[in-house]
Amino acid sequence: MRMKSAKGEVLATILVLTLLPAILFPAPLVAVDVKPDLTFTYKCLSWFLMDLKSAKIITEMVSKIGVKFELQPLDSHILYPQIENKEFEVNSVSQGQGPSPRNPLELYHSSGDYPGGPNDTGIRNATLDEYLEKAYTEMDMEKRKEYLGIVQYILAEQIPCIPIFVGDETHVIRSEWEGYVVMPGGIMDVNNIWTLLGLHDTTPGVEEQVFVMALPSYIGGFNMLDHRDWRTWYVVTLLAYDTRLKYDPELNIIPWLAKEYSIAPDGKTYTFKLRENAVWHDGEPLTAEDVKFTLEYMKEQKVPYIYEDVKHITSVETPDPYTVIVHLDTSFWLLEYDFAMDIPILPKHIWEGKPWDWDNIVPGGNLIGGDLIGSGPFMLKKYVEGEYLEFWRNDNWWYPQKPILDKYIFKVLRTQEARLMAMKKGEVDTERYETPPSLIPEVVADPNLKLVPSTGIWMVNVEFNIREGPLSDVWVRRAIAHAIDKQEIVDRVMLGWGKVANSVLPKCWYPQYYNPDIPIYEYNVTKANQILEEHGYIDVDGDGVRELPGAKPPVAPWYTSPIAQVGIIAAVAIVAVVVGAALYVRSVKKAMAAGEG
Amino acid sequence: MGAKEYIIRRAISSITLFFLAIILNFFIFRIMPGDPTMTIIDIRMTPEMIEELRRRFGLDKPLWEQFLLYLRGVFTGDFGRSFEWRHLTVWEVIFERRFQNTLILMGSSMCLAMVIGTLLGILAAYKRGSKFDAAATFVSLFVYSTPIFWSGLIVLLIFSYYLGWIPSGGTLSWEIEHTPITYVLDYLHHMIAPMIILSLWFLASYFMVMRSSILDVFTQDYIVTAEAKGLSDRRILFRHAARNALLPTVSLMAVHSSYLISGATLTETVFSWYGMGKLMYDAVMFCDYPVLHGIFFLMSVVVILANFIADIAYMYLDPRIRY
Repeated sequence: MRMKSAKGEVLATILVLTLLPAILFPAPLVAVDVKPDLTFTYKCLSWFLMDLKSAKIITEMVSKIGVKFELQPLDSHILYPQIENKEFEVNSVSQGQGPSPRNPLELYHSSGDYPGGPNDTGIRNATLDEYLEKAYTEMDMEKRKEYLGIVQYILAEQIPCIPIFVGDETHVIRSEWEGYVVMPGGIMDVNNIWTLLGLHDTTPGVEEQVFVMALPSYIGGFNMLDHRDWRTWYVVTLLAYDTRLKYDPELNIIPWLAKEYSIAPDGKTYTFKLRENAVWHDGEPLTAEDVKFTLEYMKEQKVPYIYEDVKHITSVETPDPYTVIVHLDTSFWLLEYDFAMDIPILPKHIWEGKPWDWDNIVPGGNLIGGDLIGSGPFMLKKYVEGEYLEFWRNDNWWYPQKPILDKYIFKVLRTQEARLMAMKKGEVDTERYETPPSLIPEVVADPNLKLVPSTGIWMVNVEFNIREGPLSDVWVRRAIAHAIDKQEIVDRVMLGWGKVANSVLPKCWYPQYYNPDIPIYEYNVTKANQILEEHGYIDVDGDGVRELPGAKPPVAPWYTSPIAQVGIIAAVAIVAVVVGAALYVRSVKKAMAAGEG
Repeated sequence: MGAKEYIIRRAISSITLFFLAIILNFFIFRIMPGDPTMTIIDIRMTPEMIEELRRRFGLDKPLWEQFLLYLRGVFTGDFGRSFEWRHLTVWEVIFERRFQNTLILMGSSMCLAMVIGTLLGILAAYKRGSKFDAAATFVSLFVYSTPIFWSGLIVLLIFSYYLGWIPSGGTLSWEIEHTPITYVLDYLHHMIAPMIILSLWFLASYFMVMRSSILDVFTQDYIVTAEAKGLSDRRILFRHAARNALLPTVSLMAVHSSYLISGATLTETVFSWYGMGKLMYDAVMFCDYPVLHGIFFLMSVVVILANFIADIAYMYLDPRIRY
């Protein structure tokens, strides 16, 4: 009897197993996927959480209007070449914002649309080009605003990209520190000299003012002309070097090492009067010769990054040791911003005769002879590769007000958790970058720490490749824009620490240029669906993704009709029963044979 | 076949292996996706500048020429300039501080793990089935299967944050004026936590291998003979059993030898230890071929050499081995 029941189980199992797929997953037997449809690959950086989390939510949001984003998080060295070569349909790569409103010119002019060029989206619009060219050579502020307003309008209307939000710089600093200045970019931004001047420890009876900043990794090098990360820039450029001009806390350009400057009405001549008491860290005076040398050096040596800024310079004159006149071939006013940020002044007596080449700047920038020679408020005193850097205040600095800090220390702590613990404990006073929103409740709960938020530098931005395919239809892009709830992304990704952006020149960074009258795509799923319906994007095959206009409903293959499916199930069942019966008969025969034996 | 002939044969096969490894080292990184020039790209880089970078990196040459240059580099010991740390040569990147840091950390934790793990393994096998055996097995497997980035953070939380006994990371403190003596003390102070975490992690392998190996030896006839001779348990355990049971441990050491160069990326990250593990990770991320060539060259040398030495050591540890 036992034998018999075992065979019954086998029979039942076979039946269930054969029928199970048909019962559980009827879809593969029914659906026929019609292509092409509104399915797009969606690429973003795998390690930048702000981008990655936003991209996941955006993928979710567009699925509600029958658009499918296939998310591909990739590492930088794989993603960047693909974007450079325009091998993407949609991407989310944050755009860095800064005081200089250069992004529109660099990213959306048709001259940048070639493999490897900066125009990723492939927008080619003659009117846009015209106004970009006008805007970036216009010296009159009112006209410049007007032209940049038109540029923003065209970009919002044509929508090659959807600006989502600018993340906040949620900076954490120990409570005893005061005197920092909040600026767009944060209290520890590369442009923020004011924090550097005012920062001090308010602990009563503190003898030495020592500020320790945790870096996530060691700086890339000391070379001014080969920095590729914000750490190096902050540590080396801000502390050890000076620029001619600077930004005040409202990001207006003010005279700095140049005590006064003027720009000719045609925008082609800049005249700088330098301070007369500026000296290099080694005691040599800083003169117009150094300024002239730096500009010519950058241009002659075609130093990457900076060359694009200085290529319009035709000649540099130094009528006296403290006057510099720079002639340009065009009125390119972005240069004024560059003088305030990107272009430092290098010591001629150290750099002269050394071509820009990695072999000539070992070890680490102009550390030839052992010291980093700049003219800035701090001097590099000591460093251990990979561990820490120790800067001391430069008491011979030319500026009337000196920093209060005696020492500025940079210490490498690789993980976010270690940096937060070290801040809580007092081993370090702040960290270089913002603290992620998920850790903010812990910061707020700790009386030793305080949170100082300000506008951050990264803007999450969805870019479309509009060269071909359905994304070249502006209505598809507009519908997608209507389907994205930007505030919800800010709330979910940044826990509210961010500002929704509508323009390529976001209001929080460029209040003077932001155009409030551009088309704004409010969050409205119904409207988005309606736009797609009206323009012929219909989901003809019922898989939740809309097909292109004119797509034919699929002709269902014979096996998807209900009758055929019943037939298939019946056939499988019959086969299973027959096989089971055969097995059963065999087992009974065997049992009988065994009984006889 | 005599011992000498065996050594020569092993040497020849090791050298062949070394050459194969060198050839492989060139190609595995070229297959890797990504473009080294793209890791330093900026929207303001013009195509001419990218071309110039490719020229400086030697990437404009055909692959076979790059390969020949690489081979020349291997034999002259010059792997050239790093793509990412462009102001340094490959050897400067590796030997400035990273190599020493990794060698000291990994070497000391491996030695510690080997000595303690082996002793514990012998004891656990001797008292097999006892509470000690069960506890030791459980604990070592538990530690082994705990992710280091988690256990490391817990150690930091307790001993650095709450108790303040150890620093938050790094290898040296900036606060201390470094004389040779304070330097060593400071360095050791920073090394304690990662060393203990790593030793505990390595310990499990040595413990388990030694334990099972001893148990295996206990079933051998010569142990019965030794018992019959009336030798003490301790003498049997250490003189007869342990010595023979050491062979797999020697193999394990040879296998682990690559860690001496490659480091432990997770431990180095959690404790901000400036070593080779993180360097290797970064070099892969930045497609820094020259640095990768340098690291993998060192690694092939060490692993092949360690296995060669292990094979020779076998011969002396176990007189039965003759090929």
